[in-house]
Amino acid sequence: MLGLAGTSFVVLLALGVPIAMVLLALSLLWVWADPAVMDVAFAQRLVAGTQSFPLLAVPLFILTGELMNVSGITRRVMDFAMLVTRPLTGGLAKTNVLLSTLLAGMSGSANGDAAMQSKILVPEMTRRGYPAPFSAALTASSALIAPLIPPGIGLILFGFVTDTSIGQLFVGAIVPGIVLATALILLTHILAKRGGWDAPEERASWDGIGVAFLRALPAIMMPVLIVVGIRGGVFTPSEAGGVAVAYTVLFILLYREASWRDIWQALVNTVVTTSAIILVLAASAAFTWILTFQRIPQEVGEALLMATSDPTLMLVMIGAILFIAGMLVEGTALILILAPMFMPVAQALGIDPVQFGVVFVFVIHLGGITPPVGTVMFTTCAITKVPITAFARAVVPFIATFIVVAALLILFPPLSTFLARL
Amino acid sequence: MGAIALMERVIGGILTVATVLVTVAMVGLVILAVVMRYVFGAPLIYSYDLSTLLFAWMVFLGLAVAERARAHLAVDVIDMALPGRWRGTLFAVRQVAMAGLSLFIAYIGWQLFSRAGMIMPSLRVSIGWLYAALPIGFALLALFQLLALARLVDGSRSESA
Repeated sequence: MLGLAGTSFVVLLALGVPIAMVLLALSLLWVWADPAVMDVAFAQRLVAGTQSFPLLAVPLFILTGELMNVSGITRRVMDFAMLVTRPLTGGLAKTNVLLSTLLAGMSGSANGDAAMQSKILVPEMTRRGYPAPFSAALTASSALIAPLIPPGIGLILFGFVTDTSIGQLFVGAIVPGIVLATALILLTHILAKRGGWDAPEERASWDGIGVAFLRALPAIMMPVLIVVGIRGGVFTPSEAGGVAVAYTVLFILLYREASWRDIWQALVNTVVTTSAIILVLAASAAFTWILTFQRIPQEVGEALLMATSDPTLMLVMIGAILFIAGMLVEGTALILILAPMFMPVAQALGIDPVQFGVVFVFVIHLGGITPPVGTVMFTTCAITKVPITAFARAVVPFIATFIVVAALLILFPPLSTFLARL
Repeated sequence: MGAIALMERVIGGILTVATVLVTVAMVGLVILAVVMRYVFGAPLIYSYDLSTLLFAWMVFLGLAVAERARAHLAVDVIDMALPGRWRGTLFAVRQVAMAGLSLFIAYIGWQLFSRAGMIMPSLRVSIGWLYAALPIGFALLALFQLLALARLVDGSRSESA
């Protein structure tokens, strides 16, 4: 049964059937095979899968990111980041990393961040003499900071399907996000120096930097506002999403740079992205319900526990599975399907759920920039017109760096748990 | 060209407007609930149920909008590797199979809807208002899965002509 389900899952997926449809088809086949389960009960489960207030955080933070991109905040933050990095070797490449970090609070998804920077930064980088494949690989890589710094859609979904506090996950991922940004800055420095790209320029005046900082401040304050609000018990993650939208709308009204057409497109994109994600969520919830009847999650768990009972080794093993799976399948879907399956294993070995969540979400997103299949890679290559093969070569040092960061997160649990447990 | 493309545009346009309106209402309600609680000290008791109800409609009506935007998460390695003709065949088979599946879900969703008797307490309306999103959403999804196919057939015919 498990073998058959597994094989048909992989075959249907490879034939290009959307993940949600594969999950629905397999669940329905089982519903037909077992007379004890009524298909109306299955339909009821599908609807019930959407009826949860915490899930509203997903469209709300997607909308925040979409609105931010049209509001004009992005440009102000970019001006600031460029002034700060100007006296450094590879200044514009470092701007790329810094911009992702500073804007992470307003763009919850790696893909949104990659699309935006591919459009505005990569052409400028090419003009300054960076090779295009390097710029594309850097843009895709720095986009992985966005899901770690609050708010992150991946963390919200992980918290939702595993019953982990979303507030604690948000706080726990902040330091890992900063570690990742630091590692990227270091790597960029080495590569830019060796390649002789973009020599340092004269430092901007402190007054100029100060003014630029004040103009960028609203965006930089966003993660603080969200984290303090949630952890302080002022509002739930979903309400924080509502506040974040209102906050962004305020700047749209203030700056008056977004056209009605931009705002309309932001809303349509939000509908499309949300609907696609939540369909996978509802379908995988229904699918997991059926797997549980078959005791499949328990069997997978027992098999994993049989392989090792050392928490660190287990994290490495699960990390490797997720990395390989993430190379082939979209990360969001993997969080929804695999997180509930692996969570009991982590708990059985006493791994902190927050550490597990941070490692899980980070490694899953890593798959997004790894060939052959990766959403962030496709987005970046499509916009920058860099061929996938050239991208694949340029991204190697970045992936090596990410594996080092993942190892740090696994070996040193306090990196993700210290702030969360405060 | 003509009828199919027109139908696709008109229904697709109406659906897009509808989902955006539902989204705006949902977002507005969440913000309003926070404001009411903190600024006016008068929490809206129905806000949770009403916002999740709107969310269900956003998601299920959005399925067809997402299909139109080709946004449903899928793996397309084989599609890219196949030569044009085979890719078209695979696409056609897939769209028809998926439309069949969507129609079946719409059918069981309809059964669920017609059995709905419960009243949602905080809103004092039948739970049918929630369940109806499932059959309507999946029926429209099936329609757009087939329309995508019809457009492809249409396109290749006008190309060869």
